[in-house]
Amino acid sequence: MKNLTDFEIIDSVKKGNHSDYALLIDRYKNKAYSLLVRMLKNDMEAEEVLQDCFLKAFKALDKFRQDAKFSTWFYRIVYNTALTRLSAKKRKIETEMTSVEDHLYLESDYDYHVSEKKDLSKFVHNVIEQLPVNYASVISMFYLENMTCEEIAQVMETTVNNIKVILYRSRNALRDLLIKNNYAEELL
Amino acid sequence: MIELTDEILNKYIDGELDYDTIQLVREKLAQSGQDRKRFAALQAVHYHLGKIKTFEVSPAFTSSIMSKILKNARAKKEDRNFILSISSILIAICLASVIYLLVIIAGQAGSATATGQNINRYVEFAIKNLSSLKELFTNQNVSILGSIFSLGMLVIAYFFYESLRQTKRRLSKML
Repeated sequence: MKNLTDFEIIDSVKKGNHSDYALLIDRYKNKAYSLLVRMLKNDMEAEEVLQDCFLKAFKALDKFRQDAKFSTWFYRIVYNTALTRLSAKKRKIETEMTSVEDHLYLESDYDYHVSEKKDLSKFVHNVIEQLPVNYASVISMFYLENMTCEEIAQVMETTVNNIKVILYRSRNALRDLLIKNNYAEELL
Repeated sequence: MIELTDEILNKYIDGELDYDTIQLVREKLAQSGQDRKRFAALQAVHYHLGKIKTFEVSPAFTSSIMSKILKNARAKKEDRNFILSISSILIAICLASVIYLLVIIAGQAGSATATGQNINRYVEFAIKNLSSLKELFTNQNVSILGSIFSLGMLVIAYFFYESLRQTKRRLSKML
């Protein structure tokens, strides 16, 4: 049962086997949750929003056309719901491409938090937690969900080039932080 | 000679460069310690980003959603059954009323017409004898009609209440 593809599970759910939807939930819950935690920066809120997303997806399952991946379709629901939640809370959303400011934002902000200089993984993890919404979304989808830039572009309804620019800028900003904090010496 | 921009280094990591450019990048990296350092740091970022942790939802997450979904499905089924039963009761009452009317009319039509089999005659007779219809609104029959209308009102009120509840729920979700 667990080896069923997403499409097979969806067909089964559409035929009335509602309990099969649990398979889809188990398959995507943690990754989608990680994306939401990085976007909303709040564990409880992320879980609440994720519940809404799974319920929304279930209700809209009849409208799901099988010419696209379920994951792409579902992450679009997750991403848009998170954005709606953020805008409802009147948080600042970075919808436009910014350049140097993002770089400076990371550097200046992170300088106050650097404490564990020895643990590179922790260092990277902590910096990711502070990434702006669209940067955190791209990083999560690219590295956690193993989605291609094309799929991420579909989810975020933008161009593939924009996604690549965000991805490269995130890496570059992190790289510059590594160099600035002398981690690079250990790598060579 | 190629200039190792950040974009080229990123593309090199993602495997998006053609064979010739890859060779040029490798040559340049072999020559420049500074570029090697930049590249190594970028590669380390790429490596560690690939290892970022996945957060986990609470253990009861799936069962909580499934219980909501199954509860909704059950509620929908119950609603459908309720509507079906109410509709069938209403239809049965209507049928019974029509039969009752026809029996009254037939009883009076039987004495007035010998054959009394033709439907047209029933209709003509009904029109001519409006007094029979008036009987519907006598004290005895009015209570039956009143019951039917009351039931109808109850059904309408139920649907009105349901639609209000749904609108309220949607509004609270939107807000």
